[in-house]
Amino acid sequence: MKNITLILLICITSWSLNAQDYTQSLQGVKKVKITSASGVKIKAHDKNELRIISNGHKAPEKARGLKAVYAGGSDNTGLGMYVKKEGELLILKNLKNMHSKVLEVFLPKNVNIKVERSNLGDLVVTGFSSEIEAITNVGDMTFRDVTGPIVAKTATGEINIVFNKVSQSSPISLVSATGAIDVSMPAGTPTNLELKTTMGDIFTDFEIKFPIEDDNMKIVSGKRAIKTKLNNGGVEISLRSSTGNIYLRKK
Amino acid sequence: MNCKQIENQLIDYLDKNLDISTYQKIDLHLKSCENCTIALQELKSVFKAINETPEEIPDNSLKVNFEEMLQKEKVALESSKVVSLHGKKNIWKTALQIAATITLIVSAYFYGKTQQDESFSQEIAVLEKEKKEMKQTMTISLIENESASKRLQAVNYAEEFEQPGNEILKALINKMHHDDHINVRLAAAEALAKFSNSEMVRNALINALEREQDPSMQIELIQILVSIEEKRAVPSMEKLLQNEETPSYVRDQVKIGLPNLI
Repeated sequence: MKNITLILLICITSWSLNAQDYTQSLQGVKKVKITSASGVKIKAHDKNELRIISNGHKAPEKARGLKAVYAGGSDNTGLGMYVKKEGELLILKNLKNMHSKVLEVFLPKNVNIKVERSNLGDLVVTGFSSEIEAITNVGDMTFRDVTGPIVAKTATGEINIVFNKVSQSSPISLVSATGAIDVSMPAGTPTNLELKTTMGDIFTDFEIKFPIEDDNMKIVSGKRAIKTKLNNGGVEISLRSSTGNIYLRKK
Repeated sequence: MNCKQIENQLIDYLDKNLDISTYQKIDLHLKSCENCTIALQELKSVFKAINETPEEIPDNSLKVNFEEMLQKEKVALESSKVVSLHGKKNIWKTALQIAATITLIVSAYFYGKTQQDESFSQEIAVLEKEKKEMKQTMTISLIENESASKRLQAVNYAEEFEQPGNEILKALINKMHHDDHINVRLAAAEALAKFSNSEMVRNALINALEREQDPSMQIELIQILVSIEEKRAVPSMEKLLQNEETPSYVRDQVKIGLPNLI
C-alpha cells in the first residue's frame, strides 16, 4: 500500500514537473556523491535512475539568450547542477549558493550515497538500504527508514536517525561536535555499542550493562564513554558528541 | 714347418689325428730334428704315465664308517628335542608374547599419536601466524577502502591486534592525520591510544594535537594525551588555551586535563 502511494506520488510529481526534471540512468553506478551548499533532500524510488526535481527553477526574464555560469563548474543539467559519471561513481554538484532552494533528489534505494555540504541547510535522507556517508557543518541531519551503514559527522547540527533495521555489514558512526544525537532502532538489534559524550548526557531505554568498576582506577580526565553489548553483540555502533546529549530509543 | 709348429701338433701326431700329408711332414722333420724328437719322447712318457695311473677306489673301511654315521644321524634325529608349540608348559610364554605384541602396537600407536599431536600443534601455530599476517594485510588494504564504514571496520580490526606491526601503526597514524571523514580519524586516534607504549605513536599524537583544527578531534586528542600522561603535549595545550578561536568547550577540556599533566 505504502509503495503504491509512493509510486502514485512519484507519478503525480513527475507528471506535474515532467518537463523540467532532470533524469540520468544509473546503470553500473554504485555510488552517488552529492555536494551542495544549500539543503538537500534525498528520497528512494524504484527506478534505477537519478532524478533531480526542478522546483520551478527558472532563469529570470532578463537572462533570455544568456547562459548561467557558476564558480563551481559548468551547468550541464539546466538546473544549476553539474552531473558527471565516472565509472561506478556519479558526481552531482549543486552549483548554486547556500541560500538557494533545497536540492531535491530521487535515487534507487540500494545505491551508496555520499553527501558533502559545507554550509547552512539541512540534510534529509529517506528510505535507503545502502551505505550513507554525510558531512555537514551547520545544518541538521535526518535519516528516516534506513538500515545503515551510516557514517555521519556534523559540527554544530543535530543528527536524528530512525533505523527500521540495522545492517550488520559494517560499522555505524555518528559524530556531532555540539549538537545532540538521537537514534531510534529496533529493540532486538544486536550491536556493540559505544556511547561517548564529553559534556553532554546520555539517555536511553535500552538495558545498558555497565562493566565492573575498577576501584583502583585513577580518573585522569573527564572521559565519559560507555561500551556495551546489546543482544549479545553485533555490528559496531558509535555515537559521540562533545557537548550535546545522546538519545538512544527503542523503536 | 718349423719346430714351434711341429711341437704344437705333436699331441695330434701321437693320437694320429692328422691328415696324411701333415703326418708325413712331421715324420720327416722328426728324423732330422733332435729337439723335436726329445719333445716327442717326453710327451709319450707323460701319456704313458697318465694311462698307467691306477683308478683309486675307496676302501671298505670308509664305506662302513659312512653307514655308521648315517645310522647315528638317523637315531639322533628321532630323539631330537624339537620344541612343540602346543606344549602345555608354554601357555604363559605365549600369553606373554601376545601381551608384548599388544604393548608394542599400543605404544606404537601412542608414540605415533604424540608425534602427530606435535606436528598438529606446530601446524596450528603456523596457521595462527598466517592468520595474523593475513589479518594484517587485510586490515591494511581495507583501511584504504573508499567506503568510510569499511575504513572504520579496518580501524576496529587494527585495534584488536595485541602487538601490531609498524605497518599497521603507520596506517593508523596516516588515517588519524588524513582521512577525509572525521569519524575515521577519531576512531584511528582512539585505536592508537591503545598502543601508546610505542614512541612513534606518542609523537604522532603530540603532532596531531599541534596541527588539529577540528574541535571533536582536539577534544579526543586532549583526552588521549592526558590519559597516557604525555607531558610533552603541555605546550600545544597551552597554545589552544591562549588561541581565541578555540571553542570554549575545547578550552574547558584543556582546563580539566592540564592539571593532570603538570
